[in-house]
Amino acid sequence: MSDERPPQTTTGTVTPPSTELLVTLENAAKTRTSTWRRILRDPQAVVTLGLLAVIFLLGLLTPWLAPHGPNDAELSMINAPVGTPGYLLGADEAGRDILSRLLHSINTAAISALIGAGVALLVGVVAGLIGGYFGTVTRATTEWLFNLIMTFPGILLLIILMPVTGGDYRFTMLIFGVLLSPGIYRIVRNLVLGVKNELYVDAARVSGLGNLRILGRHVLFVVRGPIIIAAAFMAGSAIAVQSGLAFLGVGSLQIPSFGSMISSGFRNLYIAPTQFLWPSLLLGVITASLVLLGNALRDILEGSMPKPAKVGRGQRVLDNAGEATAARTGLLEINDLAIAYPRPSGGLNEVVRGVDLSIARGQIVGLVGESGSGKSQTAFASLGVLPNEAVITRGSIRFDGRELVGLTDAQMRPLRGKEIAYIPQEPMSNLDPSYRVGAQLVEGVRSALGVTRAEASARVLALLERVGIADPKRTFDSYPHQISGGMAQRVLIAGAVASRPKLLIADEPTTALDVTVQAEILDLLRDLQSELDMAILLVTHNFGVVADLCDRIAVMQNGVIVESGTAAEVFAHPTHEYTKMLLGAILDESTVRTDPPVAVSDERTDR
Amino acid sequence: MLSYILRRLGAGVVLAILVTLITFLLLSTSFNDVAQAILGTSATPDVVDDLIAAKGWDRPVIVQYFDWLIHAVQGDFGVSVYTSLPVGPSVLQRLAVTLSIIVPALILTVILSVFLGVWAASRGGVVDRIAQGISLIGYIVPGLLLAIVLVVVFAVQLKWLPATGFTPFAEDPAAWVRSITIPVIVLTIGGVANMAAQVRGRMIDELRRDYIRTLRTRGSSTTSIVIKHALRNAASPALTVMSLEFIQMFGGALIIENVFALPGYGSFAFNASLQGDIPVIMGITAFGVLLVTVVNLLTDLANGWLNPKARVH
Amino acid sequence: MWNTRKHRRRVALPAALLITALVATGCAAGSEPTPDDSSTAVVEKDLAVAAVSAPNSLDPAQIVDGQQMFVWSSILDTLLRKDPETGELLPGAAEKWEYNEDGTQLTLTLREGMTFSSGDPVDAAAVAATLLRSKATPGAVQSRLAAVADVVAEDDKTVVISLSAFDPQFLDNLAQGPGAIGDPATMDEERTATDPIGSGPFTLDVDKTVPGSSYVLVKRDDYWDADNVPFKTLTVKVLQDPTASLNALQAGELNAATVQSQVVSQLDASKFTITVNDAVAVGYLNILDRAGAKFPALGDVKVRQAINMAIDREGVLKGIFSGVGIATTQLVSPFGEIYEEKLNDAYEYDPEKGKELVEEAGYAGESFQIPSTFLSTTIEPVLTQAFADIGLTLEWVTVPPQQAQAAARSGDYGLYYQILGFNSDSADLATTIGAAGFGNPTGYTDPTLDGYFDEINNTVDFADALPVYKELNEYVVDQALVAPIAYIGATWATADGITYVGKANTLSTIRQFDVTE
Repeated sequence: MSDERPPQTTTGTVTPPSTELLVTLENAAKTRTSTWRRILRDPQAVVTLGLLAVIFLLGLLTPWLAPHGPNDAELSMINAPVGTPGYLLGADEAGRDILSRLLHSINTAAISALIGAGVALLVGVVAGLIGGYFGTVTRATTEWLFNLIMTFPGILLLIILMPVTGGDYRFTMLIFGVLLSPGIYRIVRNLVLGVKNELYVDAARVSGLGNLRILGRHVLFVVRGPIIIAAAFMAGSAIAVQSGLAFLGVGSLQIPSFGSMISSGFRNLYIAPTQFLWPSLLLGVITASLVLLGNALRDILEGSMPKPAKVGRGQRVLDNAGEATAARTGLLEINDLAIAYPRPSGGLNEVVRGVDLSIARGQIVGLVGESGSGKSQTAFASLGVLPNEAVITRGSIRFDGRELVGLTDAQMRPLRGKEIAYIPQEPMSNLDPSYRVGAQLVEGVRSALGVTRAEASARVLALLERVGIADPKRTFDSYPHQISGGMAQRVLIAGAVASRPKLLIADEPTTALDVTVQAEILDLLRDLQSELDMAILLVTHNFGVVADLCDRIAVMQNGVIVESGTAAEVFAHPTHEYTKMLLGAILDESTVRTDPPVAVSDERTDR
Repeated sequence: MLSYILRRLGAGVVLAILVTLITFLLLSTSFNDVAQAILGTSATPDVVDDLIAAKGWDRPVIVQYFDWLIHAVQGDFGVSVYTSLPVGPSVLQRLAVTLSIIVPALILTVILSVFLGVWAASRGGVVDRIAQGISLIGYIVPGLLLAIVLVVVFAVQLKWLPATGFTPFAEDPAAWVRSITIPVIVLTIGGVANMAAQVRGRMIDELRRDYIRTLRTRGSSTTSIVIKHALRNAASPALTVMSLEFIQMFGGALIIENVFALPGYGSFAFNASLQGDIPVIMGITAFGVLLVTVVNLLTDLANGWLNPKARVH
Repeated sequence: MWNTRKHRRRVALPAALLITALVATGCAAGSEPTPDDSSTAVVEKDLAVAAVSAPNSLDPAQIVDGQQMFVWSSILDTLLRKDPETGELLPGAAEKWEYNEDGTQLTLTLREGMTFSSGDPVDAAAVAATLLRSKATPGAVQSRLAAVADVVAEDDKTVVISLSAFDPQFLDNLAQGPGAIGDPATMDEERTATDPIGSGPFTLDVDKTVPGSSYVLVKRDDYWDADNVPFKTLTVKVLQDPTASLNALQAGELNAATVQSQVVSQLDASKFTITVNDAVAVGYLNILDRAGAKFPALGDVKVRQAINMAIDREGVLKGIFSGVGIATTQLVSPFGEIYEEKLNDAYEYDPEKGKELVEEAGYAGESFQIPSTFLSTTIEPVLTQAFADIGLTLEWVTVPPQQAQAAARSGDYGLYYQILGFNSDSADLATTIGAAGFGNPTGYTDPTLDGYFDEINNTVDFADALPVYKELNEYVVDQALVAPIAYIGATWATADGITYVGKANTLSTIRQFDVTE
């Protein structure tokens, strides 16, 4: 079952997807990996699944495997040591075979997990679907109800309710499942709220599909990932709680369970220590496996398997890179640059395959290409901020005569923000949501120029005014979510030019903005360029922007530059087929996003 | 802001009322058993009935509940049917004992988890594996097993720490620290196993965000990026985990209280439940719900402080 | 005992720790105080003992006689005492006691010079006030003073108790909860539940005490028998887990505790003295429906005898109770006077014969339900097997501890597994066999039993009544009214020159311990 879905729009701002994501999807598409296959590829998932499968299988096979019944007691075997014939793991204080009891306990645990997680999922999913999909009144009611459930002090309540449940652990687990359901409810509700606003759901509605079908088909599809993950954690939870209760002596003493085994083992700790060991370890292994499985599933289903990597390590470079094959004297000289990403199946996949680019001082160069052509990658490489997986396989980047490829992060840092600046594509996601706008800019200025805070603040305020923000002080004091997209972009521009950089790399600076704002931003860039005499590398897919601003144009396709020349030349007489095609296909911009839908709340809910 | 807090607390009170009402309804079936238990085994049914009448347990259940409620809102939670000790102060005292274990454990958990999680997420490689390994061990090794080992080594053999019992802080701070050491260690290990992984996950996600890259392009240092920016943003979801962890620790504390003979909240509830000491159970439940409300409220407030978008105006 | 205040499910062990006392007559309708251990100048020690349950309340009207007694009996003095080794009644606060002819009037003479810890004198008025208050207050003590009609302080030292009828257990009760003396000046105050004023050997150190967890008591030098209490402090730690209490013992936090016999070898022999008491309680299968009203099979003596034959007492003793105890067919304490060793041979382990008997009686294949409680956990498989061996089925039904008592009394069950700590000779039989005993919820009786109890209840002097008790005991065994399995013992480990001297009497008081330098 492929995880790719048709492209869809959210609210209206449109952005092309990041290259990394494209690479992953591309790889995924190429190898046609189904979800199952991806699960099977991940060692953590495989090991834990395997372990759990073996354990629960043993439980199922108990009628054939267990040499004794769980409550068969032999007086003569009381506290028999490990290895007694017929009592492989010894016998407990009542003379019952520990191995048999262990096997039966597995079943108790399995049933606990099934009931607990099952009820939680059932109640949570249904309520989440209802609460998320239908109107505010319904949602408020379900909200309130689940808040009520969530405040119940779990284990305590189960103990108090013992007279009601009669100590039957299945009933207890049922109640526990209800107590667990708010977590699921939240997840489902958030996702449903997010999906509800997706256009394709509206489309479905418009085309006459009933609510139920919409819910079933589209919405359930989206939630299945988090639910599977939550199920793993809840199963672990249910098993742990049931064991805890059994340990305390709540519930029927006839039922073999890890908790009761641990309890009697604990009583006899000094008499026969191993009695305590077996059930503890097995319980620990099961719980740990479920948690690890949940983690692995989360990594597989929800993300592109993010792995941690050393921050500030510097770009990975192959040995032969860093050599310029031709000497040139521009401000920025990129020579035969190649950037590759590792394939999931091994080996490297080049996304930039030998790019030559030259930017002179004060020159505005447009790097044009479609999504996925590698243009952003080229820009990042120049800054030294490629993602950690990326490898520069060959080529060189010279800035002001200095080779950048192969520099460590510490060596790059003095350049960044000071001599080479960057304006990102999507303004809102490129500001730290937790800090005020002004503070972020001040931090950048201080690290670039080393001035005092007061001076940096003054500079930033002046800059904000320069970039055309009406009330600089107010913006300075605002949080990112309080300003509009256009203002945010101006802020980022202000931050970028604060130190009068020699080179400004603008990565699709207007794509995320409304049309009127686009023009203003472009004007601003032009003004700043002439005022500061800075070079600009303008990365874009939009020929209109290019025409407006650029001196030279380079057209990029599939990782190579297919044509380059002055703007006038390229527009008037395009030589390459691809360029001709692009020029001919100029339409109003509206590219669709292909990244996954966003849940309503920004936090990731995963439990 | 004040009205927000009051509203939340008010909601908590409403919830407490509902929960205690349900609890009381459930408990009302066992008045007879409780009376019998008070009077001892040789009491005749007549005497039992007399006691039930004397305590007012033959009144309609709703009437009894409202009677309790009216007193409760004035701070009078009644007295235990067995010890005649006032419920309110007893619950608070027991709660203090449990909190004196849970709070240090939680603080340690947070500190260690943040450290491990950030370290693992920002270094990757071997360090990440080590951190994950530590997490794993924390899951597999049952807290109880660890507790036993610690007791045998440190209490029985070395006699540095007490094997059982609790010394109130007011009486002897040093002895208090010693008496909570092993329980806190046990709780912390379980907590870290869980939370470190969450922090790590959040941090990894956060470090891949766009604004982190933009910060790098402005020349910010690694430390600033990781700690000042990424961690701050990752902290918000981590807070939710922390509040859940807090509530979970109550369950873990219950078992530890049993093993270490600590006069805590959990064992108080457990014993009261076993004995059917209804006023105590009601008091415990009411305080429990209020406690959870307060914890949730504090989490949300902290979340608001950390995450400007979530602020309430 | 079915239910004291707290159920400790982990005490599958000697539940002498969960004694509920009933009343019984004593051996000596005492006159002369037995000479105490002549006290040489022994160094006073600190005793730290483990108890399985915390006192529910220290109010004289609410006190219970389990291990909670360690605490309250140290604060409140009792009218009479019992010798730890022989169990005979000794003078306590009362020097002398005497019944009238038909046992409806008991006159107690208090000794001179006793004071409460507040300094007020202990006089007859205090005793009368306490008894009357306990009788009027719903609580654990009230029902044990059921026979009391009135209490009068004739003068400062003389208390006259009028009883509506002779109660053979009354005197023994005065050595337990009902015999505690409260301070009339403060008894009704709130503090009585947690920190009462008493005339006992200790006072409670409220600052160091953590209620529910550990109680610290300090000796009173103005206690009338201070010379015979060689302990300057007493600490009672509430520990439910045998593992926890062993840890505390080894760590030096306790110097007296019961231990499971299998761990004895782990204790450092040079530090700990081990004392084994072979019998502190009796474990038995109580046949609740002896008349066979609901379970006709149980009404048939053959079936009951078959049950007695089906149980491998020695096996159970060795396996479940680790050999600490004595196999038995009787309910009475082996250290008492009613006990008849020969009667233990009455039912040899012979399941074959039992099966025959059941078939003869025509009840083969009958099935019985029995409540499963934390007391019965370890023995359930054995009993199930035993029943199966004689052609009957036993089905265990889990009952939450809060409802265990109610379940036994409800009449829904015909059987109940019980561990009952010894109280006193007559109480032990009356509890389970007497028509009003709580171990006999159906109130079963027959003309023979009626006859026995009639005589017992009308014979004031225990020595005179003894032959009747013995006949009663034999009758109970003969008729297999119940199925006793074994006397359960207890192993005490003590350190620091302290020894445990309890044998016939295991009431949890400071007198159970002595100091041997």
